[in-house]
Amino acid sequence: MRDSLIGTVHSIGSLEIEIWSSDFAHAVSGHPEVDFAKVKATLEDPERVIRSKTSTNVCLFYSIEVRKENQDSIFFCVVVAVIKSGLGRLVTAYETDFLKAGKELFIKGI
Amino acid sequence: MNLKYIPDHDLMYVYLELNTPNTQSRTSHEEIFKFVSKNEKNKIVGYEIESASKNLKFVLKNLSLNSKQKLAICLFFLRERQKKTQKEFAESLNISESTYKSLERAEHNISFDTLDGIFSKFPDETLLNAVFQKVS
Repeated sequence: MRDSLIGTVHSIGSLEIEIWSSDFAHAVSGHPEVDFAKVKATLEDPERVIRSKTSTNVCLFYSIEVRKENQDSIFFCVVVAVIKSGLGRLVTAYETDFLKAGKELFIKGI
Repeated sequence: MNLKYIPDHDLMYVYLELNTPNTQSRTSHEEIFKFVSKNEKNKIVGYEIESASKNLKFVLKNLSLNSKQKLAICLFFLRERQKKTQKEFAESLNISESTYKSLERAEHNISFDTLDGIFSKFPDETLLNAVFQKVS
């Protein structure tokens, strides 16, 4: 199957993030809870954006997926590789029960 | 099994099981994260590995992977590092493309001939040597 660009999302910091079919299909097969709307919403309006401590030029876009009383939060995380200034590419997306360590590039409301 | 590696960012994803809803959690290793089934909290369905080049030996030796899965990860990583297609890599190993693809999915039984061919192709590959002790 040919790889094709299925969407471009304008995110914070004037970053345009490309979503390619191969990456999106890989994300969905590994994490069936992932859908395009969630990925798009998280990239457009993240709660936090963290630059990975170890993987060069990888940013993690988080939104809060579930927050119930007496339960820990579940976050939806979209992993983005920054290819060059102003341009990123979706790597994958998944749910996670923690925020990774790294440089905080953006916190909503601050 | 499904694998993904992004060489420019040295980031690797290993999926032992597909289409199983999961949540990422920490492991004792600060650069390796596990994906745990939502229905069975003790069931690991995949891993995210940062700094993969550095951590791959740890992954192969310390995570509960079977021989097929270990070989799949080794081959996939070596192929991606060389930026070769599955077809090109299969030709270099002198096996069919379909056999190679099933090796990368950890679905193919590893024959001595296949393993011998892989060792002959990569005689000094420490990654393979770390996982498969060659019997001489």
